Amino acid sequence: MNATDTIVNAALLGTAAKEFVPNDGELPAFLQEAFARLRSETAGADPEEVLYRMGALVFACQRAGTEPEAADESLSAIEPAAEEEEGTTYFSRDFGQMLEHLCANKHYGLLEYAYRRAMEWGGKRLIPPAYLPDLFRKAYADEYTMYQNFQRMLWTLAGRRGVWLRKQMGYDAENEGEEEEMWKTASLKVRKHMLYRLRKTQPDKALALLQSDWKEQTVEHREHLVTCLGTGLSVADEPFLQMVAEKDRSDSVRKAAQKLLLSLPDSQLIRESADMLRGKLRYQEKTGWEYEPLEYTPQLKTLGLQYHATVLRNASILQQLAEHQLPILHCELIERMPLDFWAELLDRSPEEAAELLVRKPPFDLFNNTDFFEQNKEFEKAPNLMGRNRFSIENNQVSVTIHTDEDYAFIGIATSEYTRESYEVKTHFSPIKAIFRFNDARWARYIIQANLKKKLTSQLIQFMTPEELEEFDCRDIHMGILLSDLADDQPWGPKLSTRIVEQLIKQKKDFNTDKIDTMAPRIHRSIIPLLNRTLANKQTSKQIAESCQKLKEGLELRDEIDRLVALP
Amino acid sequence: MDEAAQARRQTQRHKNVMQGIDDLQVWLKDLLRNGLLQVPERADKLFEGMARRMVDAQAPGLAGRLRALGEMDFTGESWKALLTERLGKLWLLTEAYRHLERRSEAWQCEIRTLIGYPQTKEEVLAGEAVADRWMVLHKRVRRVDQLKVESYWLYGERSGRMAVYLEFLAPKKIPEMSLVPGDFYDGELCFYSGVGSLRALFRSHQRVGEGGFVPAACSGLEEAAARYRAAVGENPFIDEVPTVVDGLRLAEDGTRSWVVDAEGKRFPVRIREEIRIPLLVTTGGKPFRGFLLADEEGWELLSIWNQPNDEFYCWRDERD
Repeated sequence: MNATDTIVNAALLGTAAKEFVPNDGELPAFLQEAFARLRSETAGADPEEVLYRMGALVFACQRAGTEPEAADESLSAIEPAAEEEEGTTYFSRDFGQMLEHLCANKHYGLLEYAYRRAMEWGGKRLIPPAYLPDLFRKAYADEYTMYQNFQRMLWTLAGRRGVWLRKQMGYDAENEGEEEEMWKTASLKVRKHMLYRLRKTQPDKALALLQSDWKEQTVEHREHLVTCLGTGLSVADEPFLQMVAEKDRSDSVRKAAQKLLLSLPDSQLIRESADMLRGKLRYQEKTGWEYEPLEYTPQLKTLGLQYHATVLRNASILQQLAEHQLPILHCELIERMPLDFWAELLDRSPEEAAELLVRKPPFDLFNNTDFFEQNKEFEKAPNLMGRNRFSIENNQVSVTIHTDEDYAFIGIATSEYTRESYEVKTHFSPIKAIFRFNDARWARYIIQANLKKKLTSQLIQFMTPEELEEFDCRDIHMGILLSDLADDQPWGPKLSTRIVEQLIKQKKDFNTDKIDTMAPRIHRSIIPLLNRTLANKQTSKQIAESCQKLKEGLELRDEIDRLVALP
Repeated sequence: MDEAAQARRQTQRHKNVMQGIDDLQVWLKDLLRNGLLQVPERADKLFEGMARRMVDAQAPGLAGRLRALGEMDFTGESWKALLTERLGKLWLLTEAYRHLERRSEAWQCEIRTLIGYPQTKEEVLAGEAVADRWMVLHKRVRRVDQLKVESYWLYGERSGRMAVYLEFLAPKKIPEMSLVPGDFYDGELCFYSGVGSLRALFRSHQRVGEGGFVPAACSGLEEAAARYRAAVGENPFIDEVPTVVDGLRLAEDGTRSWVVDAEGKRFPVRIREEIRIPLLVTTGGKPFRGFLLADEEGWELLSIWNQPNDEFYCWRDERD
């Protein structure tokens, strides 16, 4: 115990409990002598006075002996960041301040744009380090933007100092060989970010990290982490995903794995689904699509058919539906099929198959009420809310089918009081399959055929800038349109004008997200339109504010262009 | 007439202060008799009453010390030693005032100032001035109730002297001087009387556009510690000892930060959380020259010069 501890303990205890008299050895000799002198000089003084004076002396001595501690192996200075590559310089402070401004004001669309423009320097110019911390914090704070491509641009633009700084800030490291160490103690959010990043460059390594402690993860973590394999998904992931889809304890985790397997056109799950459909489906030029009923077997369950779990639980209901030739199971299976399956089934080229599937889609059944009206099993029920209804009654179950524009709703009454319902698409659409497989080839065939605007309009992100420029987007919901337009493509003048005109016509303000999406891409030729709208006295306050904000967004874009202009 | 009136006021003030000190010492004895263990539970109210008594006794310096005790951080274990030390100093100060006549003139001035006797601006500016080129090393803004207190630390190029300039601002009041950290001013500083006093006022000042300098620095932490020991040895009541130290690097052990010098000597250091990352970003982990303030709680890093080009960095420092 050192001298100050002796004083402190006495003070904490209080002199009423015990008068301060240091024991031998509690104080160094010179302080012991000082205490003795103090006692004799202040004979009759209160014990409190003695303790205060002694305390002041002891602490003063401690201060007078202040020394730095010696070097110790347990503590070493933070290793400095590696030097940047020779020839690398920094962007101006103005650019750093611009990034700071965009980040602080949540102009994330323009922030991404700024990063993209800065990347044109090929890594020879970096963001000044002083501005990195806030940009990094934003990169890790927001669940959604974490997975945006612009984060990867930020890591490149931050240089080697950025790699070092992220480590100091407690975020993951880019350094080879450090991922395993980081993984062990990383939070879920950081793990997801690591997987997302690694899946783009080293997908095998990401998979290995995921597998390293898979069984120790909670259900919630497993569900989140397995979804990360959707980035850079390939056949190499199939064995792990198949294992999870078959054996995981959690239904939600199994479904998440199955969903990914369905995105692999050559996966075992797709092949088995295709095997089940082959022979049950035919196309004849003159008569169109024909199909054979699908029988319920346990294999259907293992194929993970989602929609009809209710039905699958009850084999008799399934049997009833099969007897009435309702193609419930067929519908879900065919939506899984890749383009090559159809090309083989139809004995056509993939391009011809894609076109035929649009002109003559299979299972336009529910959309065609003739089937129900001609089938004596079905009774026409009174219309409900303008929808066609047909029903089958038997002693145990009633099935009522509502046909609507896009969906048929099948309701099953399993008892007098219990009713379950689910929906089936009334017609086949290749859209789900195209997006699931990210099949740009299939999308391009449909766009070029241009047979159904409603279908084509869902494939905007696959259109070339020239096609977009000529595409009439006026009927499309603006929110959907803006989210579908590709991230890094500038818009032409016609598309830009149509979009702004449509927004103004809707008479709703363009919310901040829309402006943030538009500002990096919209063509400057819309500025006169914005100015006219602002000058028009009949323009509502909200629209005027939105137009003004869009103009300001364009000004920011111009400033970004100026700050990063290549020589 | 004025002198006589002043003398009477001084005499009355001394009487008031002595009565205040009598009450304070009784209170301090009661506190220690009962022990300090229960102080944290009562801290928010315990010291305020006696602080107000000191204000009534015309001893605002003592009131300030009592209020500072009430505002201590009572989490963790470090409060025990700090509170004991500060109470001991408070006792010592009251005893020193009781026996003022035994002290030197400089010490009499120092003790009166610590008690709360003001030194007027005119008195200070009438004293000897130190003409130099002064660099503003740091600015701290504290809010005390309605008052804003701006503290500026200064360093004189030729004299090598440190100084502290204070501005007290009521709401809406405009500061007399707007010093900017990192800027240089040619001027004359007049120091307050006392023992080792750093507080000063500008008799004249002119901002310098060019011709800045980097303050001379201690070569390492041993030299810095020696300066600290000398300062507290000269005046144990000193609150803060400013130093500039060369060749420092940061280290962290998971619970706190350290500064390590080129010899591997180290001190634990306080770095405000909001500047820790900017500090790391700026230095990139490389050695830097740092402006440190040592007080009873340890060392605090406030500003740096980033080497090798000695670019100065200072961060906003605002506290309630």
